[in-house]
Amino acid sequence: MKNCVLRCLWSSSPIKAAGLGEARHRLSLAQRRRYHLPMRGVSIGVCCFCACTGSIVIPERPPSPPPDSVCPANPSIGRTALHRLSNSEYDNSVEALLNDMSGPSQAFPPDVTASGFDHITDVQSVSPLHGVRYEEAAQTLAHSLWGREFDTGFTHRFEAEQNEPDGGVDAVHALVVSDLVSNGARTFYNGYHIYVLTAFDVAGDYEVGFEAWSNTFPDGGEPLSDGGFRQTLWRLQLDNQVFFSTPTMGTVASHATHRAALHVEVPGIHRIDLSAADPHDRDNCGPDGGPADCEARDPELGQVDALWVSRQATRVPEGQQRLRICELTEGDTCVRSTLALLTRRAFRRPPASDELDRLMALFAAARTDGDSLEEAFGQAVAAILLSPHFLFLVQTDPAPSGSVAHPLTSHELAARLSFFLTQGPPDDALAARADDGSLLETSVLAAETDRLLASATHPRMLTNLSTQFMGTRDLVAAKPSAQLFPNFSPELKTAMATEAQLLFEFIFSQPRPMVELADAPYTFLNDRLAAHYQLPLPGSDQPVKVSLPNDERGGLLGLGSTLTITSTPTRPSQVKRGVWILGRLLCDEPPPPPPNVPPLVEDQSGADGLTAHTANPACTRCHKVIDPIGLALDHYDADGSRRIADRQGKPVSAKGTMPDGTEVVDLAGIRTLVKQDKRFEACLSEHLFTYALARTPAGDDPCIAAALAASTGEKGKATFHDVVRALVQSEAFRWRQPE
Amino acid sequence: MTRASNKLSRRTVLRGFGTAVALPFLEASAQEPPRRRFLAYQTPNGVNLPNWNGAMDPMAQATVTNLAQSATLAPLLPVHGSYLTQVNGLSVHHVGNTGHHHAVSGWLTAATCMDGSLRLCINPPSQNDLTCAPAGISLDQLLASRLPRVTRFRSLELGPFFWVDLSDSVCGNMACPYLFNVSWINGSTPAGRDTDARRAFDRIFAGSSPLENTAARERRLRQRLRVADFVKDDVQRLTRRLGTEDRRRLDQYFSAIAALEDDLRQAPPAPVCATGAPVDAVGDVFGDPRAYLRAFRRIMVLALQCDLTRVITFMVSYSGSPGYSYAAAALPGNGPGPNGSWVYSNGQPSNILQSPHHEISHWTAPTGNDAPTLLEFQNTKRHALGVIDKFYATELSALLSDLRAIDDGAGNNLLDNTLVYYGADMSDPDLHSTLNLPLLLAGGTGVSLRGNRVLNFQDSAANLHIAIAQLFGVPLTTFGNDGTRPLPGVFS
Repeated sequence: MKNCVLRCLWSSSPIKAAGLGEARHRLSLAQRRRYHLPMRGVSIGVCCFCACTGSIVIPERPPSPPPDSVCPANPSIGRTALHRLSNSEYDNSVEALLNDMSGPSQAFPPDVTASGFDHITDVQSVSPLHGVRYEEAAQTLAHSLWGREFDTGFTHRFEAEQNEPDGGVDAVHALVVSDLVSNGARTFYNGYHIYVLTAFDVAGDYEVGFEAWSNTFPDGGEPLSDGGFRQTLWRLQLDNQVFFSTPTMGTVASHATHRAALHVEVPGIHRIDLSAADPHDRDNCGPDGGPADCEARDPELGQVDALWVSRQATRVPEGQQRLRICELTEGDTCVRSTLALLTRRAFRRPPASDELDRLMALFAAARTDGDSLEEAFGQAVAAILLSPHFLFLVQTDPAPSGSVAHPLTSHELAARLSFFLTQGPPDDALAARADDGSLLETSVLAAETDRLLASATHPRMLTNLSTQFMGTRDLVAAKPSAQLFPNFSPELKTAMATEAQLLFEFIFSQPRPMVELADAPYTFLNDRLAAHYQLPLPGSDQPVKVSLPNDERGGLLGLGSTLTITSTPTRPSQVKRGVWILGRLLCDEPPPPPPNVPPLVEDQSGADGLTAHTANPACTRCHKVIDPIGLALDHYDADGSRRIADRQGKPVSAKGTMPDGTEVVDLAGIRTLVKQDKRFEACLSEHLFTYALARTPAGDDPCIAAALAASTGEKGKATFHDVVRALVQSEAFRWRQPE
Repeated sequence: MTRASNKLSRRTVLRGFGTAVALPFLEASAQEPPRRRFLAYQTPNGVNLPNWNGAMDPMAQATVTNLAQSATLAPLLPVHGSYLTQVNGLSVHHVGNTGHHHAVSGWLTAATCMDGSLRLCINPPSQNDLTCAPAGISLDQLLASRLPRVTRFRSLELGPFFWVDLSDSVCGNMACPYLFNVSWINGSTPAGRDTDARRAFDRIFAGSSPLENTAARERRLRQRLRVADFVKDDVQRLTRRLGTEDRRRLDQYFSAIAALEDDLRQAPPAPVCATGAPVDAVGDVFGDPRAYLRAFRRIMVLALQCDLTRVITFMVSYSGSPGYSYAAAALPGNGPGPNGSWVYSNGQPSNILQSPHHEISHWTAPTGNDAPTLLEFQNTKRHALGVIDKFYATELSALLSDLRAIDDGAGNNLLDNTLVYYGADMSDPDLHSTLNLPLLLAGGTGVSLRGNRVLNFQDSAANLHIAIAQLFGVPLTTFGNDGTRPLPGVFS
C-alpha cells in the first residue's frame, strides 16, 4: 500500500500558538472570513487540515445566521472601502475610454484574492510598484492616443554625392566605389548600387523614393543581340529583398521621380539598396561581376540624384476619433471641451469646473515649456489616467465627519451598477440616466439593470464571475501527476474549465434557479471531455449542451474542474473537497486546524487515513462534518475521472456518515444534501452580494444577502437575475454608510 | 568640480548621501572604480546537501575543504574556479520551526516572518510587538536604497509570475507574500518584480535606443515630472474630502506617486546601449524552464552591461508545493533503475524527475508493505534533487560565462566587478532547514574575491550580509535577526 505523506509546509512559532484559540474566538465573523479565506485550491493550505493531531481545542465558531431568520429591524448596510479598479476593471475602463485593448494591467502587480474574488476592497492595496506601473501605462496610453500625432512623419533625404559616412546611421555608403559624381549625381553602370542604412522608427508604411535620369537610347536603341532593347531596370531592396522594380526605356533622356511603397514589420535600422541593371546585358556585366572592361564597354545606364525614405504622419487612432469633437488647433476652447468629454468618461461624472481649470493650466504650462500642442494635450490625458478619480471608484459623504447613512449620488450609483454588471464604466445611456438624476428612481434603476443584464458587455462580467466562483482559475495551476494520469492534457483542462463556466453562465443567464447548480441534469461537453467521463460522445470539438444519462455527473460537484482542483496531484482529497463544499457552497468554512501540529499520514483510499481525525477529539468537531462530505465524492479521482477502486485495487465505498447518522452516498447523495441545505441558496446569494459590493460580508451583510434570495419568492426558485434585481434595489447597494 | 573632489573616498560620499547631495558630486563618485554590482540568485526547495558540501547531517558543518569535493559545484571548477568561493555553515536563524515562507523571505533579510501578519520581524518578536515593521529589509534593497544613485534603476527584481492560485492573501497560516518574495523594502512591503521576460525587456531597455536623442529624453522626463506633480496635487485635494479609512488608502497612492517622482528626478538617464533584438516571449517557469532562465539571464547580463542597474535579484521559482516539474527541461534520467529510470513507487519504474520539485524535496519515510526500503526511497529522491541542483549549477555557469565575456574597462570583465550571491533558500529541504545554507559567491578582484576557495564557518548569514554591505561601502553594523559584525575573511 502506498501512502501519501502530507506535511504542513510551514509550521508556526510555538510562541504564537498559545492563546490562539482565544484570539480566534474573539474574531468577528467578518474578520474570520477575511483572514481565513475560502480554500481556492490552495493545496498547501488544505493539507494542514489533515495535520490535526494537536491538543488545542478548536473553539466552536459563532453560528452563521440561519437564512430563515429575520434581519434586524434596521440592519446596518455596511460599508465598502475606497475601491481601486481591479486590474481587469482597469483594462475594461481604458477600452471603454480610449478603445485601447492592449490590456495594460498585465504589467501591474497582481490583485489579491479574498472571499473568492480579486476585486475585494478589504484587501486591496496600492504599493509603490502600482505607482510605477500606473504611470508607465498612463504615459504609454496618452502617447499612443495623442502623442503619435505630434509625430508628423519624416523624410530622410540622402544626396547621392554624399558618399562618406557622417558618423551617424543616416549615412550614404557607396557599395561600388565610384568617384564619378557629376552635377551632384551618381552615375550608375550596370550592376552598380548605392545603399543607405537608416532608421525605421515604427512598424508601418513608408515610402522610398529616388530621382534618377535614365539615359537616352534614341528610338529605343538598336536591337540587342537577343532581340530586346536596351533599358534600365531600377530596383529597390529592403535588407536584400526586392520590393520595387521599374524599367525605364525611352526615346528621350528622362528624368523621373520614382516612388515605392514599403511596409516595415520590424522597426529598427534597415538597409535600402538602389541598383540599376540592364536585363539585356550583352557583356555579362551583371552584379555578380564580369569582364574587367565591362565598365569601359558598358554605357552608363543613368544617374541618381537623391534617395529618400519618408513616413506619413501616423493615422489618427480610433480612440482619439471618438473624442475628437473639434480640432485642437482651433484653440483653448476646443482643448477644454475635449478634456471635459474625456474627464466626463474617465471620472464617470461631469468634471467640476476647477478640475478643468487645473487641467488647462497643466496644458498651458506644457505649451509654455515648448511642448507641441499634441504633447501638451497628451500630458493632460496622462494626468486624467493617473487621477484618483479614474483609478478609484470614489464615493464621498456630504460631511466627512457625518455618520448617517445616505443615498449614493446618481453617478456613484451608476458606476457601482455598471462595474457590477459589466465590469466596466457606465455606457452612454446609463451615464445619461445618471446625469439627469433619474437613475435614483426605482423604476429607472430597474430598467437599467435589465438593460445591462442584456447588454453586450455583460458577458465579460459573467465570465469574470464564473471563472472565479467556479474555481476554474485555480484549474490553471492544478497539476495532476503525469505518471498517474497520463491522459490528463491541457486540452482536457480547457474542456473542463469551459464546461464549468458554461454551466454557471447558463444557469445565470437563462435564468434557471440558482440551486440547479447543485444537480443540473445536463452539462456541456466536447468529445474529449465526454470520453474522459465515459459518456457518449456528442460528436463535436466544441462544447455542446448534453443531457446526462445517469447520476454519475451533473451539477457543479460532478464537474471535472471541481473534482480536480479539490485533489492533490496524486489523489483526491476528502478534506479539500469537504472544506470546498462547506466554504464555497454553504458559506460555512471551518476554521483551519490548530497550528503547530505534527504531520499526519493520510491514506490514499481515504477512510482509513481519516480515522486520526475522529480519534482525536480536537479534530473531531470540524472533521466529523468535513470528512463524510469529502468521502461521498470518493468515486472521483484526482483528474476528475470516475473510479470504483483506488490505486491498490481496493474498492472505494464513497460513503460518509454525517454527525446525525445520515448516510451520504456518492455524488447523488451529496448533491441532494447540498441542494436541500438552506444555506446553499443563501450562500449563492451571498457570493453575488460579495461580488457586487466588492467587500467581504461583515456585520449584517450575510443576513441581508440571505434575505435577498428569500425575498424573491418560493424557496429554491430564486434565479441569479432575481437576486441581482433585489440586490440592486437594496439599501446596501444604493446607500452609503460613512465611517 | 575640482580635481581634488574627484578623489573623495566612497566613505565620504556615503556620509554626505541622504542629506543634500548635489548631482555633480555623485557623478564624480560614479567615476570611481570599480563599479561593483550585486546579483542575488535564489533557487527553490533546498539542495542535496551531501552533494553540495559533503555533510550528510544537515545540522553538521561542511566537510568539504576544496571546491572539487562538492559534487554539485565541481563541474564549474575547470571553467570558473578562480571566481568561486563556497561559503558553508552560514544560517538564517528563525524563532521556532521554519517553513518555505521563512526560507524564501529570510534568505536576504535574515529576519523572521510573523505568523499570519504582513510583517518580517527581527528576533525575538514578542507577541505584542508592533514596532518591528521597519525591520526585514533585504540585502539587495538595502544596497539599492543606500548606494549613490548612479544608474537608471536602483535595482531590478526578476522572477516567476505571481501564481494565480496562490494570490489569496493568506497561504495557510501565513501571508502569501512571504512565500513569493525574496526582495523586501521593509517588513511589510515586498519590492515586487518583473515576471514576464518580454515585458521586462521592453521596460528596462526603453530609452536606451540609439534612435532617441538626449534632448528628446530630457524633454520626456520634464513632461512626466509635470504630470506626476499634478497628480500629487489631485490626490491631496481628494484626500481632504474623505474619511479616515479611505484617506489611508489614498495616502498609499500619494506615496507611490511621490516615490515615483523622486525616482524620476534622481534617475540618471538610460545610457545609450545596443541591446539587440528583444527577448522572445518565453512563457513562465512552469513551461520550459530553460527558455525562461535563458531569457532572464540575457536581461540580467544586458542590464549590467549597459549599466542600467547595479543590483539585481532573481528568484528562479516558487519554493513549496507544488513546484514545477523538470521533465520539460529534459534532464537526464540517470536513475538507478533499468534504462536510467527511477524505481520509485510500487516498484514501478518511473522518472521521478517528472514529479514536482517540492515533492522530490521531501523524503520522510513512507509506510506500507510495498513501499521501497527507506534508504532506497530517500536515496532516490536525494539523487533526483542532486540532478536538479546540477541543472541550476549549469545555468549559473552559463551566467558566469556571459558576464566574463563582457569587457568592463580597465582590463576587467563584468564578472570581475560583480558579486553573485547564489544558493538555495534552504539547506535540507526535508526539514525545511535554513541552517548551514548552501551558498556560493562568484566574482573577481573588483569585489575582493580570491576564488578557488571553500570557507567553513559556524555563523549567521546576517553577518555575511553585513560584510557584503560594507564591501559595497554601506556602513552597516547590525542586520536581520542576529547580524552584529561583518563576517571576517570572505573579502580580501
